[in-house]
Amino acid sequence: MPEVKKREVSDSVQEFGRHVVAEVQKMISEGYKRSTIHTITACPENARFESQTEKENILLLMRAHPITNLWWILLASVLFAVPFFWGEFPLVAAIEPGVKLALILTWYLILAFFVFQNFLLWFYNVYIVTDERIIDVDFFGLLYKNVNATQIRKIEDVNYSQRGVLSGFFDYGNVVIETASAQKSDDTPMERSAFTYDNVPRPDRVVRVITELMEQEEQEEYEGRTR
Amino acid sequence: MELITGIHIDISLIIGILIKVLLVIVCFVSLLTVKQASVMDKVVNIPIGGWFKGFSWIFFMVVVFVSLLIILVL
Repeated sequence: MPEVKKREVSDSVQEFGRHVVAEVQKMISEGYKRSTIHTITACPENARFESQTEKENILLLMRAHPITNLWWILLASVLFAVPFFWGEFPLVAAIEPGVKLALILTWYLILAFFVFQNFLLWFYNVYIVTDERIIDVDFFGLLYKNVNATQIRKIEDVNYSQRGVLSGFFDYGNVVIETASAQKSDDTPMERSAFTYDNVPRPDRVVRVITELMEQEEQEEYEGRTR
Repeated sequence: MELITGIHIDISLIIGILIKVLLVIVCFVSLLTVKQASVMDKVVNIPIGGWFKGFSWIFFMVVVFVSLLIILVL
């Protein structure tokens, strides 16, 4: 392991104490500890969330794989090109030049809004694993948010699924975390767990981190060290 | 087409009115985006979040400026 990476790992372990599980240390050594704009970050620097407690440390910060944005990027690209061709339609050709210019400006403003909105929703729909809890932050549309959080010790089962060609090719999938109590959430149907990390990159490693945290929690409970 | 005496309705007039209504709506939703970016940054505080908040304000200003320009000129 290069010297810089070794130092980065030991810095993180010192910073977060013994709660940095082996898999997270491995991820840091592999270069996952980068800025928070990446889709999966181990021990992100200067990142916090609303209900974070003083002693709580973020181990993983994730968001959906960038490829899941493909649909709206393609749609925006098509919509961007539409004004270049709409002059061919007789109805648009009959519009006065001043109104046509206003129409083009309005079109691009709405398009910019669409792109910015989708980007924000992707960027801030994050999944967080701390040394004590798991958090699922979901934003929908303009003014609706849904934040689910539960203690690691309440997790009963964790698994992941990868469906489709894209998820296999780009290595992303859904991580489903089942908790002891039936989680009810506005954004998920009854049969689905409230803690579903949708389309996260490297779901196998996420599952490994959560499993190690569960084991660590069990060990602490056994030794009577629960925080 | 002269449906009301003295008022000549054509496609440009209809599209012009539609554009003005749309711009008012876009102004409103871009203001909501400013609020939304602020709420998102509060829920998940990431260093780059401040930049997005600033961008949402710039976007709102641009929308208001373009809307006023179009509404007054058209």
